[in-house]
Amino acid sequence: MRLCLKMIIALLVLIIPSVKSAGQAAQFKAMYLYKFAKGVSWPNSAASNSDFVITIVGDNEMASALKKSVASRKIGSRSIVVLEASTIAQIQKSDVVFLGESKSDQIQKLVESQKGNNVLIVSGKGGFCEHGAGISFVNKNGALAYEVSSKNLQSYGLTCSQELLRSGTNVD
Amino acid sequence: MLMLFVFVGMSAQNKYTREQVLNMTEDQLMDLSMEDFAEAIKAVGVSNPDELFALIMNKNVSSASKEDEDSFTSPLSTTVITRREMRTYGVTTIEEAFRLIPGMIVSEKTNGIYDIHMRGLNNIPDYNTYLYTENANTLLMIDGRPVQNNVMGAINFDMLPIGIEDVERIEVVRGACSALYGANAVNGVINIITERPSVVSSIASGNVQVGNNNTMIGELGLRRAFTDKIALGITANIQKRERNTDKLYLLPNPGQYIPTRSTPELPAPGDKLTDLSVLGTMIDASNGGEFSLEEIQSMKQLYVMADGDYRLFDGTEPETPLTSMFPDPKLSRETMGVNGYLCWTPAEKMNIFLSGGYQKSHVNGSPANEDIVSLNGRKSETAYINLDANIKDLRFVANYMNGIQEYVVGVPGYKMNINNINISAEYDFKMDNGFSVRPGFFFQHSCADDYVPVWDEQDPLNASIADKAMPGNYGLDLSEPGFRYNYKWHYEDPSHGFKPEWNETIKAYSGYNMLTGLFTGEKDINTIAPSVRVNYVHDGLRLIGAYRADKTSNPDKWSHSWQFGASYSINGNNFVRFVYGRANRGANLVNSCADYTWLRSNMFYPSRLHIGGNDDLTLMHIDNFEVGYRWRPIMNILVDAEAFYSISKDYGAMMANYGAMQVSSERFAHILLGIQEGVNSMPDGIQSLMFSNDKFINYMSNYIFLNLAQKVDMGSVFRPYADVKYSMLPYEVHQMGISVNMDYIISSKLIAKLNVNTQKTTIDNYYEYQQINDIKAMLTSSQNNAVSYSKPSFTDEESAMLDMFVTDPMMNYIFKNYEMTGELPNLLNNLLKEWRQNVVENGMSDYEAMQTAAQHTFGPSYNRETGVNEIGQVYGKDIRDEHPQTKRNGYKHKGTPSFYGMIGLIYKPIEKLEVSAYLNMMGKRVYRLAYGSFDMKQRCTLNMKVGYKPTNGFEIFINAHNLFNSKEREAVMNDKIGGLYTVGAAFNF
Repeated sequence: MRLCLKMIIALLVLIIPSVKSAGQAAQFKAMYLYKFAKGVSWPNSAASNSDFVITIVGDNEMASALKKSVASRKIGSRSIVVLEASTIAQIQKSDVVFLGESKSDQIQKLVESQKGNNVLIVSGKGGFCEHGAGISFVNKNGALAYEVSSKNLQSYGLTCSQELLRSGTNVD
Repeated sequence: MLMLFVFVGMSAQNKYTREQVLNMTEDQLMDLSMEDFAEAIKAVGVSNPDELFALIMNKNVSSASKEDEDSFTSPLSTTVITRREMRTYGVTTIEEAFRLIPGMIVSEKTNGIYDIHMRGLNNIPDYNTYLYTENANTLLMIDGRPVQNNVMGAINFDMLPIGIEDVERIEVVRGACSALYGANAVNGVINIITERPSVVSSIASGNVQVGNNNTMIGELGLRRAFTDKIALGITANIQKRERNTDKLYLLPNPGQYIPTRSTPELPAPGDKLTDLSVLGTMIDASNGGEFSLEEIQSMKQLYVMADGDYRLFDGTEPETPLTSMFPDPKLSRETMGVNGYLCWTPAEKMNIFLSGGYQKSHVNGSPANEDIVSLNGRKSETAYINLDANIKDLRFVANYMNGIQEYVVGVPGYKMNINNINISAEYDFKMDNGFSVRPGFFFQHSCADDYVPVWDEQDPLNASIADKAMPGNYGLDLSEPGFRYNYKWHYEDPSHGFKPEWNETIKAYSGYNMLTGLFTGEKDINTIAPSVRVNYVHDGLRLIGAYRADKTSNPDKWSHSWQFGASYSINGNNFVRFVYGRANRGANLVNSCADYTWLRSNMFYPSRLHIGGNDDLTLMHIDNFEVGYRWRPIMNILVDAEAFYSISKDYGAMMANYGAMQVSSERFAHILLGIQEGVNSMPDGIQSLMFSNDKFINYMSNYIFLNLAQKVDMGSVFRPYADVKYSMLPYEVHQMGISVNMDYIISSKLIAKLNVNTQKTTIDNYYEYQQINDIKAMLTSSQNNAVSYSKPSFTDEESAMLDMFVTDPMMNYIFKNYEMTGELPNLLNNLLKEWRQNVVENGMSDYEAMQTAAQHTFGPSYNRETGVNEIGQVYGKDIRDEHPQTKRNGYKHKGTPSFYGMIGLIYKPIEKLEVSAYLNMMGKRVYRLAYGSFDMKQRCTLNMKVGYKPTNGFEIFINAHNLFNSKEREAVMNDKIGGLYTVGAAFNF
């Protein structure tokens, strides 16, 4: 058993000098979320004085990264508030809902629960525009990219900029 | 043209280099235009570490508190493992996945068959049956449906219908949680969550592997959503594996000898062994070990009798044919299952989940019967249907399972029809102030009937003992005249047939139920349980309280369990939890209702062994205190640590209950008639003296008895009978321990996983109750009560009278040297007096006179329940009191290792290649069983998988378990597990 313990210690020593933080993708996604919020138009958004609410479902890392990224930023005149939810039921009224990969199986539930709301649903997993998401992140040729469905966005009363459409893959 | 290409090439090039982007500040990046930002991200060439985070760090859990939540903020000690992680580490069975989970003690018994514990508390009490090494302290569920083996009171994964392909994730909650889930959640709950088919499911997924030891594994899952409201899934799994030996582990027992080719012909069972040199020609197998089926079948058991004679008995019962028990001794696992799933969402906040399936299995790895060898086969063929309906805040679950299960293949009495029903309803009242209250009601019906399938009169020969027919013991070998009956006689000659009504005849005659099974009839346990759970959430604070009361029908008692927990999320990266819970084991049919009579023909003591349940038992319960901390020091490290302390009481075991010598009146009558001529030929004077003087009657009995003992096997006159009953023990078991689990995403290419567990188990009020020794002492004492000898004291007058009248030198010697005392001489006195009276005064024939006297003296028949015809009764409790054991406190229980854990790495050098390895460690253990104490060495095995994905969704791999082929036993008296090497392919489209 002593041998085992030695092996564990040796392995720990080996792995402690971490290469780099693996949270980079979350950081990029967080920045993307902000960009999406800028590139999508909400009805009556300009007139609204309320906070711009982004809810992150089931992805702590993403929530932390986003909070950091948008701390001093605004959407129009609206301050950005980042909320976290671990279930669909916990989602409060939001402008953007990001569904983490671990909660992908909840997409239908999310789409149903948000019917009639002006909300941008962003999925952390690819291929989800098919299931009602407005935008979904994909891994394209080894790089982070996104798919967008203007049709889905319209069904939530949203429109998106040409720039946003051009930079991603339009799946309609 | 060249210029044009250069221009196009340049324009296609990214505007940014990777280094440029990495050197940009976050603000600079965010201020880029959308198009530039997309270009910049592309330049970095992000692989997909998020996928890893989803895999490792952000897992769902619903078992912990019955709500879907993030495992990081689960209020209980919870670990989740997903199918993807299982596949990545090359796990080949659901059982094996527990090697990756903290708090789990996993030992492979034979290829693909496992003994799985959560924190231990097994092998208590020690020095008892092997059955108590199984896990009776963990509740096993599939989608919240209990799949416990309620017959034997254990968890048996080989009888589950599902395979890895069905699993979405396995949630393991450690700690006492009966209040949330019900009985058996003593040390925790394993909830296997199956993948519900949905629009995001893969259409087809599967895994095929082949390897050494004729290992073949195949799994397939097909899932499809037909509309956004209805999705269907169907899965199938099959495994076939062989052991790496065809030898069986013979249990240690002094006096076991295995004949060899040079062994001459041996005397008949029970006959005196005159030439002791033959022992030298046999293998002394007293210490047990691995032997072939044939060697074990030929084994003899040597006994040194009270008179100093050596006698050899059969080592194995002729009625327990090892060939029926092991039609294929090499088999380790042959399992298959098919499952269907339907998800229907008819309306908002309403979903119906319906699942059903069928499984068939035959494995060698059951510990249920401890007859001669440690290994036993277990078969199961069952089907189930499960409805799980969520309608707004109401959850209704109902399921039914039915089938045939055989816990010891080939041994009559262990095959039975199983019926399990579970129904539950829970309603969530959610309030605005952070409170939610969830009342619930549960019903469970567990039934086993060992009288099925019924006898096939049309084809009696087809009914081999292993596969067919009533699990009654056909091996009953009644020695009484006219009743020689055993299965060989019956099965070898079809003309004999078998009539179920014969049982009634034999029962009336002998007092024994010929068709004895483990339960000898249909037995059931019904449980109803109201429960309530209160949950309060305020900011990061969460309080949970739960209470549940289980009313079982057998024992007819209430058991109460409760749980209180408080957790606090200090911030997103630190989470602390405290839990106290009381939980109890569930009632199982063996402990409550067993009624099994083992008829041990041609074997030494006891010739009858009855194993009985106790309908007044108290269910073992535990109080568990737990504190845990989850910590995310940096984004890619997750540490989960827990410390626990528990006290458990009300342990029970099959203990020596009472012993007696059973006397056959018919047998006595018959044998006494054999010597009647001798008595009748005595001079009248002697006869008169004998039948008028109590002392002489006693000596007459003495003469008869000793004469009998010389002529016939004592067992045919006296039947030493031992009753073993589930009895409560005063043990108080203390356990404390620490588990630390760490997931570390070192980079997108390298992920590490580690769990270490250390724990200590001690027992207060410990007595070393050795089951077999108790039974032996009980029977010896019983025999002494029934009959014992001393040297008589004669007056001179009596001595002279003896010399004058008793001319037979043998009789004279016996009279002068043996005075028989105990219950039997009294009975014999009465018998002789009455016999004489019937002949002389009532004018009966000798036979009629003896039969009438015998029946009158001993009663019309045996009846073990009323105690008639049992003499010299002794209670196991009295035996234990007579020889008080030293009570010990702080007795160190070594059945659970003090250290165990694993360390694993996943390395993905390129996108298409994935290498995983994990080291499994287990400290030393000491198993104390009825057959002795067994040291299990510490062990450390390395498992490794290399997978290559030529295209997305398809993988080919090689998989090595126990890479260095270290042939060590992982479970006591089971196989030396060697390496298992497989190659295979997996797909996921």
